[in-house]
Amino acid sequence: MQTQRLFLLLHTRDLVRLRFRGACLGLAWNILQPALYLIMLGFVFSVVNRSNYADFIVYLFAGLVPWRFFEQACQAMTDSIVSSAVFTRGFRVPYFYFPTSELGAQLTDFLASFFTLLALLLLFKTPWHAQMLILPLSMLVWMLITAGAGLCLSVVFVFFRDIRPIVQMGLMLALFSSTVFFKPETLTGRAGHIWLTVNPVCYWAALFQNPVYYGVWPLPVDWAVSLASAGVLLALGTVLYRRLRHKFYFYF
Amino acid sequence: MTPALELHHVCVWFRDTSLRHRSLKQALAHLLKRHRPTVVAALDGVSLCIGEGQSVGIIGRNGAGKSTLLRVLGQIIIPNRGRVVAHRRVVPLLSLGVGFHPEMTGRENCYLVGTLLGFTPAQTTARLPAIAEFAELGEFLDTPMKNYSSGMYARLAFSLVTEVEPEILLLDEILSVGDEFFQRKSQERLHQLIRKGVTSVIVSHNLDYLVAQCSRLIWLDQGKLVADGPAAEVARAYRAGLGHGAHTGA
Repeated sequence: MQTQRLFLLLHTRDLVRLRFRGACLGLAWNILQPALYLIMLGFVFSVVNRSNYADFIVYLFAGLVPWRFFEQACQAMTDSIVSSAVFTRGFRVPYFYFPTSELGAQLTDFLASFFTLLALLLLFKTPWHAQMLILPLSMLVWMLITAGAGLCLSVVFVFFRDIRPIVQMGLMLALFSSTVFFKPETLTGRAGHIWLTVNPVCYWAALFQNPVYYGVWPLPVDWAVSLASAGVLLALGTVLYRRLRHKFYFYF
Repeated sequence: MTPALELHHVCVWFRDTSLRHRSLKQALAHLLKRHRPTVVAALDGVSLCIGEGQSVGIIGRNGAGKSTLLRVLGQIIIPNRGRVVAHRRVVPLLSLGVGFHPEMTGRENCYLVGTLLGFTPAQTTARLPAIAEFAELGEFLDTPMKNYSSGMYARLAFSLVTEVEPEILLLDEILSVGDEFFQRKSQERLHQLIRKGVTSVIVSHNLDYLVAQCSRLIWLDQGKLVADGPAAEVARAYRAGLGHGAHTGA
């Protein structure tokens, strides 16, 4: 049914609207919240790391902007199928619409964070590199990775409602053990080098950090690992969804 | 008879564990105890054909599979086995509180649910005055639905699904909700739809109502089709069966 696709758009819009309904600044919070979060986090970490605030915050933002999107979207998508029961128990609507709507709603945060990053580059008079033109493509790859991970989590959550703390813990570990949070040059020694080589999040982060902070193009290996991660996660999510969707109704 | 809805050897089953545990911790505990889950058959090889314009009632004891059958017809439950074919647009009105987002207003829900029922926002806008008038919600149309009473909920749900020109209407006990005035009003609208040729499938425990409303009754017991025929005939057999305690539905 063609109008069912309209449902996807309307539901995404409503999710954005509902998040801050009744709040004093209303929809403006969709932009303010991620911006304030990033500024505070950048300030705290630059103090903790005793590094140059302007330099470190640009580095941190370049990794945190896509990471925050990934983290927030994964958490929102996790319970999206279960929360969709108000609709799916009453009407015929594909379950995957709900993780997709959450992903769409989180895109507003992603864009708000991205423009905050651009504003900070202006504020700190950091040079804009021609390589930054690749960022829309980097965003797209991050979206694919997030879509895959979120779909997997949303399906698993239907059957195991206690995975949320595990997911949160996993996301936190992934953040603090990757180059999103620390510069690769701070990790020395063989073990550090091996870790940077095997951790896929470092390759994902490079899609943003290389053009924004280092002013270089992401390496072919960064694209390859990121696209392979997206492919594996999307394939796994699709297989899980297709095999288990007929059971969802009985687990609401 | 031109078919409006067809079911071919439909089986729906679920594991009893789906009713009890939904956590990793419990799943692991069951795995360690080597607990073998029991498979419950909600529908067991049901085949039927509902013709255009027919008004069909579904009867059976609690746990017989009536609501599951209605949800399979509405393609809300995906059967484990078998096939469902809908030749016309199916509009379900299954239970109170289902189908609407409680945080959203009645108006927002009309637009959102309207798309699921095959209406564009422009078509919903055109029908919104009629929906609001029948539902008698007044200014509550712009209030989040979590603040609605059960009667207000039922009025809006019934008003919306009957206003979007259903071709096949599925009803599950919903008409027993609300005050007497609303019940009369909604039954009158239902009569009008049936007179217009809308196919309807109704689940109810009110046998007299179904006999008066429907030309055909389907009797289910423990997920199996027991009888399917003229309403008065099946109702008589059902009453006789209950009287003799022949059925042991949950």
